Amino acid sequence: MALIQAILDGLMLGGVYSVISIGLTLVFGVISIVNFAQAQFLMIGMYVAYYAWAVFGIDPIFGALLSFAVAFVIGYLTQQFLISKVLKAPEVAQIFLTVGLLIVLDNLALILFGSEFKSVQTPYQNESIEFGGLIVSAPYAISFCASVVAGLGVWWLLARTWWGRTVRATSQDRMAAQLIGVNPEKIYRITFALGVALTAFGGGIILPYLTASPSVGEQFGVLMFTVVVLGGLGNVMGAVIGGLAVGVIQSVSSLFLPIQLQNLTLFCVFILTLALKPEGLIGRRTG
Amino acid sequence: MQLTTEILSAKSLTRRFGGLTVVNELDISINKGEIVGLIGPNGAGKTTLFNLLVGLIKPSSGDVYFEGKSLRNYATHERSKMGLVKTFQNVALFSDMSVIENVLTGALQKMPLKKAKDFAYENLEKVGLAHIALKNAADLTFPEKALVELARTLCTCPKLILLDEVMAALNESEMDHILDLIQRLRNAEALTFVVIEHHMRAIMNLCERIVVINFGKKIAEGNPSFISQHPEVIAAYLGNES
Amino acid sequence: MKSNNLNTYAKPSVILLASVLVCLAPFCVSDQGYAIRVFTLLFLFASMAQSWNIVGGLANQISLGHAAFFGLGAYTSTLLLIHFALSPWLGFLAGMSVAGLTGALLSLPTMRLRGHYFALATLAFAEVLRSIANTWSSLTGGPVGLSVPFSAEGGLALMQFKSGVPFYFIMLAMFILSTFIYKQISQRKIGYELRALKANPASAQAIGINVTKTKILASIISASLMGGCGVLFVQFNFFFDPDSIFSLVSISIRVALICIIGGIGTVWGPLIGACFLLPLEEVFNSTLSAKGAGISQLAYGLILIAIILVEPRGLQALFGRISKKLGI
Repeated sequence: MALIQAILDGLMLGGVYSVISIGLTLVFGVISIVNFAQAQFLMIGMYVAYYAWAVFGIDPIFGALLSFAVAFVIGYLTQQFLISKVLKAPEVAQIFLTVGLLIVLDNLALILFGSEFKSVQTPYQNESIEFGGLIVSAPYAISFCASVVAGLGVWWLLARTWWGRTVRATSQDRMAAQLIGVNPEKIYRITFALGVALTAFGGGIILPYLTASPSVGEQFGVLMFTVVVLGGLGNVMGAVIGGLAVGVIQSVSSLFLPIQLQNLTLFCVFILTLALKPEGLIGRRTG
Repeated sequence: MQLTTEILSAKSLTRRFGGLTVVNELDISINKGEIVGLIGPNGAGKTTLFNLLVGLIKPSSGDVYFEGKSLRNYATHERSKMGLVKTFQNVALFSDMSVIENVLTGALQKMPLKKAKDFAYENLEKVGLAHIALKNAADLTFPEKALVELARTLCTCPKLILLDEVMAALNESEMDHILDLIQRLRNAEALTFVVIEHHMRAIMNLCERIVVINFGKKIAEGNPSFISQHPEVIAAYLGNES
Repeated sequence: MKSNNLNTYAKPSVILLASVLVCLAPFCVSDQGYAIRVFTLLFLFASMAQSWNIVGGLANQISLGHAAFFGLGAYTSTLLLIHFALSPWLGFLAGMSVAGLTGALLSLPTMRLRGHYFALATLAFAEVLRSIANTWSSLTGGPVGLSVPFSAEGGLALMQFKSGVPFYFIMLAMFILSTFIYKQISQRKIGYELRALKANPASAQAIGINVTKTKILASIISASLMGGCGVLFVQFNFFFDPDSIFSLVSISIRVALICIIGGIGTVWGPLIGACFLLPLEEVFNSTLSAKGAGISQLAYGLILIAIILVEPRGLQALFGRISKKLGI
């Protein structure tokens, strides 16, 4: 029974992990860079949602929408003025540009918001739903629902809009896409913006049960990368499944393993996938 | 009198990629000291065959034998150490090294640094390029690159060399130079060659035996005059004469 | 290629002069002061960058997780000292061994990874070690960290000294050792093999290079040296905790940056980079820290981004462009 509970909790958490990670995988699939600063946008999302709550009393779930918007703008500008400049440069430069961004964002947060942990109080945070002997905590459930909505939104975007079709075409065959007149830079800007915005949105919706601090990026960085690698870098559906998988692995392993080994488990999953099946467990062709 | 001993063979070699069978139940046998030509239209599976022979790709089924030994469990670098080497179609030099450094890297696989340096120069002279030893590999012309790759290959003291289109984009005299070089190397160093080439004149002049493949299967085998009159060969090449 | 008579005499003279200066330097400043500490750390970080250079420069594998080996070395020697009273000199060897072994183990699953993927995997590894060190309190002391047991008299056997001079020379020796090793590797068969497999792995295999073996060997050497540096650091600094010893920004990234800025894949790059970056950081820290936490790091990050935007190939290329313009 405890196992089922753990799996359920894992799925709830995992849904959020999925949303957070979709952005990262999208960026890689389309632009072919790993954004080492991705988790920092999670942090930005958390802070935006926090202040929306603290100053205006907006519930974080809606504050997350504001997070999305803010991050979208920042992401768009980042792609336009920073990332685009290194796309033709050696990998070293690409890696260190986003690494530099990581440093800048972490420290900006420290300077602007201070290092204390900030948490919100929501009317539902101590509530839970019971059914069949299982307990679902309300914040988890609400975040999960928000993730589902976000996930559907992304699916709709990719499947039904012009942008989505172009993104899919570009990530499958860049040259062919260019030949039919797609301007890659525009696509990259929207993709990067959307990618970081999704992660920021994820930051907003986890605020009800987690605290915001400048070090949140570190906590989620490895996790996000694990999700994305499991699902296949560039594979959006993979990120969804990977997120759920990671949530469940985390949750179930906490039943059996001491905390020291939980992270090690996650890492082993990560490294084994990278080593044995770099295209992810879902195994699609790389971009 | 020449004793023919088989040095390399492939039995029922097959390689599939997804739904496509690129090499199809291929049998081939190469004898020591031969210069064998491998021809066929583009996409016939020639380079894939070479990659299978040296182990850069694993076969879907079938086996490769070198000097009587099955190569099933041998990796590419091990096959190289045994004496089975290949050159690359688009020439694979190490672009941030100089010519001599490229060649040296090959020699270092067989002997210590001091001797390797001398040996590298020797082989560079054999192909006639000692004068550009210090040039950066990326700055060479294509024929020069092909020759440097050959020199580097020679430094590994090979027994059999698989040459993959080493004469692409050459003019007449450059081609004659390489043809001559290959024959001299075969005679002087007891080397065996299998040569993929699209230049018919080169193949006909160089090889004692020619194997023709199409769609991954062997469609003909014999000496140059036999091959040049073979109806299936002509049909396969219809429109592809170069 | 520029070589003329002046150069053949200039080079050895410069080296001799530099060596003399380097040996005299610690005696010209207060032996427990700020300056000697900076010099000492300079050589330490140059050593760390040199060990990173083996994998980053020769094989072009950008590791963002070298702090893993640094921390492993540090914990190994300190725990052995605390629990078994093992001399730090032996601890140095032990630390190098543990780090080297880990490097070998890590290189297996990361064997076929390149570029971003490799950076990612190494980063994740160091982060995992950091979190394990933070949570396995019974072994590592947890987030509170560990201290090297302090001995009032100090002495060579315990690698603790009253004056700052011995550690200056210890770090200098480490730098000389790691540079010597780097030079040897780059000039010998393994160096050529690393460059070959960086340029074209298939071709490298075709001429007989065992790519796997070569990569593992390079990883072991690089990791061991880094582990050794970790041991020396904690003996010098006495105190460390998981967040600082396994730090992504302060160790992994910094060490890679030093090497890249000074000239990745060159023998003197690490030293040049250290001489540039460390004093710059000190200046930032002293002028900007007062204004608030995080400002100096922010400046650091901004400058990093600026440099990359101006010259993506790094400072050496930047200097190259500038000297070309000036006609040097």
